[in-house]
Amino acid sequence: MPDANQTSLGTVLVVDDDNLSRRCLKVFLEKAGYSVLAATGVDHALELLKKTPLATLDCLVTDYRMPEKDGLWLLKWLQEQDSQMAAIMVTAEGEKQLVTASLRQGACDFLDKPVDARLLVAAVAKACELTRHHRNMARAESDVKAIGRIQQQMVGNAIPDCGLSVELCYHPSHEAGGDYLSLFPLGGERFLVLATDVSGHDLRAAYLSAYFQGFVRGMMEAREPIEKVLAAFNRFLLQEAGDQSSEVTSVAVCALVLDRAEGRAKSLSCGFPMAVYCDGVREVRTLGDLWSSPLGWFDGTVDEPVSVETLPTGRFYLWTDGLEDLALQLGASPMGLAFALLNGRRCGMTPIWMKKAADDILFATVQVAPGGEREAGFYPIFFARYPGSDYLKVDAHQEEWSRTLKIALPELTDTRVFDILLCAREIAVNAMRHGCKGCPDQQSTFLMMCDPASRLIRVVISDPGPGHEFDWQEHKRKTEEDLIDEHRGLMLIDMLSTRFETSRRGAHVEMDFSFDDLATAIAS
Amino acid sequence: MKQNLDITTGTLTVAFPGDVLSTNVDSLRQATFAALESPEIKNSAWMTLRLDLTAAKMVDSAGLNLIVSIIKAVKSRGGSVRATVGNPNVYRTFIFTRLDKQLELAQAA
Repeated sequence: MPDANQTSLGTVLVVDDDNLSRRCLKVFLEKAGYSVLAATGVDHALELLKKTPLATLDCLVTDYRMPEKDGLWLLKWLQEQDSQMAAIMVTAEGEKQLVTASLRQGACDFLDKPVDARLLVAAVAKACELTRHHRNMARAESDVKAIGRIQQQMVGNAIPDCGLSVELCYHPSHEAGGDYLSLFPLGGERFLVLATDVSGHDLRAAYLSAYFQGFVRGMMEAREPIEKVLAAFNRFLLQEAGDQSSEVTSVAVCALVLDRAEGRAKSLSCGFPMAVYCDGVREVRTLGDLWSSPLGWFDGTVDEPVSVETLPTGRFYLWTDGLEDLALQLGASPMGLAFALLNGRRCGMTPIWMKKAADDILFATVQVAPGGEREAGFYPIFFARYPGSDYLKVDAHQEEWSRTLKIALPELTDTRVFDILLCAREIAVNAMRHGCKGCPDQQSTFLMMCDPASRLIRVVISDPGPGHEFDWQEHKRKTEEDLIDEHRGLMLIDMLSTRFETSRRGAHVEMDFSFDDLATAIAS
Repeated sequence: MKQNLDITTGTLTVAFPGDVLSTNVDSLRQATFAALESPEIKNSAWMTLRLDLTAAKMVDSAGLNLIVSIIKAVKSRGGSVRATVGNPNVYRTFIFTRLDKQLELAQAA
């Protein structure tokens, strides 16, 4: 036994049926400063372990050859009970073939009989260290999981019931991270929505995210403008939170200030995907043109916010880059994925393709109007600006529309997807080739939206061209009767869409499609 | 694109390799009319042109316009056109644009 005044270096369970050998192991280890529990065989060891929990032991030293059950059996049992505890197998000459089997059962070292005291103490010291390391790691992992759970609860609870309708989808793919969404009432009809993504997926990221939320809350209560708050945190990250390592700590953030009374909002993104505004009828705007660096990268001021006038039917959409990465991987639009996530959230299901997500995903919609019917109005599922020269790439664009439709609206039949794609293609090619004159410096806009309540898909395509006057009824007659080789695209759209309207002499086109197949729709 | 002339039935078959779309219609038009204008085909006594579109999953308006041009060319020599499509959506496209009134349309089994 170690000296009473001496702290034990650890507790070792020694298992050996040979009295002399067992006594030698015990003495060697006790002299070196370890506490030892000695067992005459596997059954005796199991008996001892009923009174002494495995968690209080630091290492097992076991003989291989013993009557009844051998050392390998004990290793296997230990592996099942406490895989973090390191074990040493004592083998006799000629039992070297056991090495592989023992390693498979979790042994970390081997000693030859007769055991050399110096080698024994060194091996036990190493094994005890390994056990402690494994246990510390397991504890840290458990802590990270606990923090992750708290974080998930907090993300949900960060949305106070203050009259602003916010829907949030949070899909963490790591135990802890820095994705966060919080809402700050600014008095009257003004609100700040703050979406945050801190670099890293660890405790540090979770801590920094929480610190940032507190920092913003404090400064907002002091009525500082959001630009000033973000600039101050940028300075903090660069000057105070920086360490000597080469690792950069950065915070990507999107701040949205909504003034409901004024019918306006402003948004500011720093390294965060730009917020998207959809009026719920026919227009989508990305709030910003250029990607800006996250807080913590460079010194200086942050960009000016981008303003937008809002309609009561409008909604804002915010998502972390995890959603954009997944959309890229799936070859679809992040808006389509967001729409599917929202639908999944409403019916308590997670889409199967979410398994491919490599990063945490946070997505939120912020409704301009207070309360109201949650599903009402059109949600964007695809938005792009195509240069005129892209009419040659329309096949690739069509593929992306197709994948997005199938992800966003898996209930659509192949026939209905075909109808939408064919009509969208007709108008998109016309917009790029004629409206934009095929020029790379002129852009057409392409928007697909969905209203789940009325079960309609809306496609809105605009180009900057002057359009042209035409008499659709006269063209239709000529196309059918005189067999002229044009306008068949319009005939198709007229037949396949539920609603087809043009404005600006055809430079702006809107088409609605019911979810149902045409035959079903006509019948009903 | 494949073409086959069956002298016994007086039928010329032109088979399109896949979709007929705005992105490939120019090359298909060139290949089709080069074949129709070739002395071997032009001087043969065929009266029916069979368009084999069984490989097409989509025919857009540019593709339909090509087919209209082919119908006109065949009609100008007093012939007729039959089209065989495989995909039901392509079949619907022909019906909705009334092209079934200008050619004999059949859906492959």
